[in-house]
Amino acid sequence: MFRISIAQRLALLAAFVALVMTLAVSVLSYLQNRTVLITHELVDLADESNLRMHELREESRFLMREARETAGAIPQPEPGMTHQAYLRSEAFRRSLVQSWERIRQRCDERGRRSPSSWLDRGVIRAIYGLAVDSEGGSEVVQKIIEGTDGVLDRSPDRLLASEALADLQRRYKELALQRRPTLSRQLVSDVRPLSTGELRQAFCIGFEMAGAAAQPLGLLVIVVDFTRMVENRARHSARHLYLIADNSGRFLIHPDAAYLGGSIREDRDAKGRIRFAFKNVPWAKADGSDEPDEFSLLGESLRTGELPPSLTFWFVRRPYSRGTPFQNSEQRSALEADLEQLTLRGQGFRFSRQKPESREITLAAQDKEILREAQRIVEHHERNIGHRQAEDWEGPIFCRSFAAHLVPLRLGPDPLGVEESGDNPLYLIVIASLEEIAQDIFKSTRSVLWASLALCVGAGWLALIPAVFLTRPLKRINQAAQRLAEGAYDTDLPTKAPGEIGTLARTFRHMAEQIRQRDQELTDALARMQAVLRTAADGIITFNEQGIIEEWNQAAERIFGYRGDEIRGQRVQQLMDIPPELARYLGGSDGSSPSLQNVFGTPNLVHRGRRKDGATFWLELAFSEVPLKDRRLITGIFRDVTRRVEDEERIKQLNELLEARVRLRTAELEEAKSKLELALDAAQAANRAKDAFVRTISHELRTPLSAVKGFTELLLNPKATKLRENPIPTLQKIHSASEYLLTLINDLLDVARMTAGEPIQLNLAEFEVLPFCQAIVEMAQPLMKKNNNQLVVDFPAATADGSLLRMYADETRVRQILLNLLSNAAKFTENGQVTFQVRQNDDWVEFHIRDTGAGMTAEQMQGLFKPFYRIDNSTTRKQGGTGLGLSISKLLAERMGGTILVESQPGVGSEFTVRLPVRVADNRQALSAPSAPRPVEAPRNRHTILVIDDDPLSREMLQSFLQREGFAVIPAAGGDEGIRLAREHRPAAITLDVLMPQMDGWSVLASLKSDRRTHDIPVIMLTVAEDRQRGFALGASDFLTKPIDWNRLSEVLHRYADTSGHILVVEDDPSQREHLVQSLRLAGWQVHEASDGREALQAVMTDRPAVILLDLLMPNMNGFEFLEELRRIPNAEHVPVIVVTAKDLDEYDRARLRGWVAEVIGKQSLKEAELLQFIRKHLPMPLTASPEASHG
Amino acid sequence: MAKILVVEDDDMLMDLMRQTLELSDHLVAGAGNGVEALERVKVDPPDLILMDIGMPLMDGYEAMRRLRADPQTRVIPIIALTAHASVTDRKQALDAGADDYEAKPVDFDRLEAKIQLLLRRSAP
Repeated sequence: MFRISIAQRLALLAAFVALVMTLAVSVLSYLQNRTVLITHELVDLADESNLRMHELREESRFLMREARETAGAIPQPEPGMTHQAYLRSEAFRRSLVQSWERIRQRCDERGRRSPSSWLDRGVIRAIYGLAVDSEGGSEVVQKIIEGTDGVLDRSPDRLLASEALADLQRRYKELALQRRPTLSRQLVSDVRPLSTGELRQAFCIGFEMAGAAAQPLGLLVIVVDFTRMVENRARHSARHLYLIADNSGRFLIHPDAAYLGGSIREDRDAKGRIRFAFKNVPWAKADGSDEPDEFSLLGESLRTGELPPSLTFWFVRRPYSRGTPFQNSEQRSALEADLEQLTLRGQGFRFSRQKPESREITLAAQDKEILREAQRIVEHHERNIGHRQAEDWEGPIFCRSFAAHLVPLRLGPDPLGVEESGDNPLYLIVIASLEEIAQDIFKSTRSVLWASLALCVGAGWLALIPAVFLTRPLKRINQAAQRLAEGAYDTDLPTKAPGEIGTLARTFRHMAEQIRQRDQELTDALARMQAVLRTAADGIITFNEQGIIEEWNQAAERIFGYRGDEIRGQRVQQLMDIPPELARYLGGSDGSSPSLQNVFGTPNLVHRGRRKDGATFWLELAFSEVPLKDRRLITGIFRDVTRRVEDEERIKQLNELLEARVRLRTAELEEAKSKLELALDAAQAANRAKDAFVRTISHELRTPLSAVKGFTELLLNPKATKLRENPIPTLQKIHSASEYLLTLINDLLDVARMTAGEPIQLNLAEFEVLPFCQAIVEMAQPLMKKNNNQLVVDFPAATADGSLLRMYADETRVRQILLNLLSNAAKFTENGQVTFQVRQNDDWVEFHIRDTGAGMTAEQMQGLFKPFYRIDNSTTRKQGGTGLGLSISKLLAERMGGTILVESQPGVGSEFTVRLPVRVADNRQALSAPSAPRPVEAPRNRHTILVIDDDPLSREMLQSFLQREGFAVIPAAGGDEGIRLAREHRPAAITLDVLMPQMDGWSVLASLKSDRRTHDIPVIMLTVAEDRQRGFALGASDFLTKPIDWNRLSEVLHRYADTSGHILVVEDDPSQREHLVQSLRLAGWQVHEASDGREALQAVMTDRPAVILLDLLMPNMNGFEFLEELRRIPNAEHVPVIVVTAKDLDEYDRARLRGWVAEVIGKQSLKEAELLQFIRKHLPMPLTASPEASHG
Repeated sequence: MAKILVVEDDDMLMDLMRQTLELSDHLVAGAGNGVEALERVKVDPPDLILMDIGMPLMDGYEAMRRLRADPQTRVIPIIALTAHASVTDRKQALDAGADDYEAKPVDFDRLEAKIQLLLRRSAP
């Protein structure tokens, strides 16, 4: 259906419509025609039959007139003659015969005039004149007319059965006797088939005298032969059939002889329906009743119907379009003669007589064979006359449906039965075949059909033309649409066409334009997207809800290793371990899967992805949803972030390193800062100390001075009479004060001298200790007595080897010290005991002075050796104590290389220990004075440094720098070279670059440290990255990072001409000590520990550490004391000490510490790294079992 | 002719002060340190206080501040005796509450004059 175009459809429609219309028209016309034709035919039939009856009636009327006229000619009877007599009279007889004669003549004339009259054609077989006697009887007087058909029966008796005649006569008589005033009497005899196929009837016309009283004179008996009538007609028309039935419906004349005697009324169809009957015909019933029955139901004229099979016949027709070829009568006669022969065969053959104006010939027969024969005869005759027939025979048509017309036949003057005669009429039935009629119609209809067909086609074609015109623009639009669909935007459109087409075309063009634009936009967008997908560095993958991968860009190929065609259709789970959220989402079969935004909290996930070859890597994913119309897609962006992750790791590490470095730097800075602060503090403290000292001195001096001045003034004051009367006590006070003043000044000068750094001259000599001590004891006795103290001595008899104890020292100074201590002991003890003990300890002499005095608290002990420190001010001064004694003593002791230690318990007593070397060394530097920290460096301008660095630039820089610093430099470009040179030249130190191509720094370091020849050379690692632990573990002495801090390097190098050792931790608190020790050991140091100053000194003396970690606040001997003592130990003055203290140092503390202490760090802020840092600064990395580490 | 409290830790100087002041007919009471001084003041308020600075237990500054803080003792005139006569010391002494100060060794004539002045001022 779809292939038929609009045009074709229109055409078809037009054709169809035309067809329908024409069919309708033709059908209608056919029906109409048929109706018309049938009506026409029936009218024809009616006319035909009516004509026949009319003709019959005319004949009878003619005869009646003749009879009347003739009867008028008969003379009247003579008067007086009876009618009977008249009738018998000769005159009458003669006139009657003349009348008969006259009638006969008249009939002949008529016959001659109209050959078609019944007389001529033999329908009126005979006319008899009958005379009527007075009784009414009659006798045949004369046979007027004889039958003209050649078959003459002279005997009237033969023509009319005697009974019939007799009957006629009788009935006439009755009528006559009834003296009916009608001139004509109708007397019809029974219809008597006189012979087979002949049907005759006679009727009388009465001969009567004119006059008032009609007197029958004679009878005309007219014999009609109906068969002849039918035959005659049949001969002339092949189209119609003639039948005669009596009033009971019995066929009297029937083409099918077999059917004669059959009745209309008995003709029923298969269903029992009456097939042939006439309406309003008072058929006489078989039973004689007159009631109408169903036979009367059909119309008077039967329009259609089927006659009994025997009435069927075949009908053919030959049209002569140019008129009949049988133009002359001879031809016609010849033809008719031959055809007549066939009629004698019966079978109802009939044919149409040709007239010159005939345009066809029709043949009909009940038998087809006869028909065919007839056709052959006609064709034969046609050929004979040389006629070439164009039209063929129409038919044979089988005729079995008929239209019929019924005409009642009444003989007599009024055969149409206007007068009720009561005689049984006959019925003439004229029948026309409907098929034959239809043939005509069909012929015309056929032409109509052809015409309609032609019309259809024509209409179709016609319709096609405008349709095509109409649809051509549509076709163009269609083509344009197709081209548009294919992507071509050129529009060949009938935009100028009028009406809707034009509008459509213009709209279409507009639409095409829009589509083109949109297409373009889409293409652009697609191209852009494709470009994005193609060039994206990240893999862009689209997959559906089940995880089946649909799209896969090039970056994804690169990342995962799968080609697009390999992976499409696979599941995304293949590519990675799906995070549980996505797995849940993908597997979600509950249908209510939440949107991805809800599922994933964070937009990016980092996960392990899997490549085609199985390798895993780090993957960063981001998902988003693509809701399509009927399904959901998920687009994922995948990035290989392995490198990034690694970078991040590295960055993190670097950050940590950086932070460590920063912390280190910060620590260093802080260290520097604190150092500066210290220096500042020290300087300030020094200033303050100086100020304080000056203040104190001033105060101390002014006090006795005030006394001197004051008391003197008193004495001089005239008012002070009491005083002046007894000036001695006052003078004594003055004296004492001035003495004190002197002592004070002397002491001060001593202290000043010592503090100034002037080397106190020591008068060193050897002396025996015991006598020396004994002399001291004697000197001290008075002091003891003052406070009622007992002096106990404890001197060893001899030394270990039996010799007397000797000292090589400054006797005076020693005495000064001991006397000071003893006098203190005496002062601060009342009613107690003072013990003076001397002991020798290897190289040391110890003088112990114990008292049982009040004792001192730790705090008091703190300030003991401070200048002018007095426990009890008044007491001391009273006793002439300047408060400087202990300070001087201590200074002196230290000057001699020893120390003074104090132990005391409040309430119990105190013990002072003077520790001096047996042999006081000479020419010491100003140890007794706190000085600036001695630079560890010795001028090492000639020392050699081996520089191992692969980068020539770095190497050169380092080399030139070191040379500037005064070092000799040996460069090495690689590890192997470096190791070889190290072995050869044994430099003072090696700088080693860590990152070197051939043999990296670590390997070099390991190699150096494991080689006996080079393992003691300090190695300083130079590296960009910080890997200290590793370095130290391997044995790097110190660690510097590139870019090199040249100062630091210098410092370190200068420092590291030295050797390495261990750390001594001096800390009284066990847990803190443990902490420090462990930390340091972990860092790789060798650590010794001491819990107080004394222990520490022992430790130092037994095993000199390389660095000391010192807590200031300790019992027995606090940090300061320890430091003082430490400095007295030979070889220990260079040992760097790092003070770790919680105590807030004051100026003096700091001043004291200054120079002795390398670093001061507060405990609170103590961090291992810082501590390590500080230590490292001063200590080269400890080697394992370094031979130089152990010495005292 | 007033009751003067001398606060001085050095016995010798205390003795000197006492003798000199008594020569001027003052009534002299003594205290060896700040604590003792405060006690004495509470017990037997003097007309004037001569306060040494450098003392054990509680030094002169603190004692003076305490005295000035206490409304009862606020009005008592105080002369600080100090060995140190720098500007800072002077300022410190005055800030602590001294009405005047005198450097050691003391010029007794001048001291007496200051005493008289302060006594006159504080007398109702």
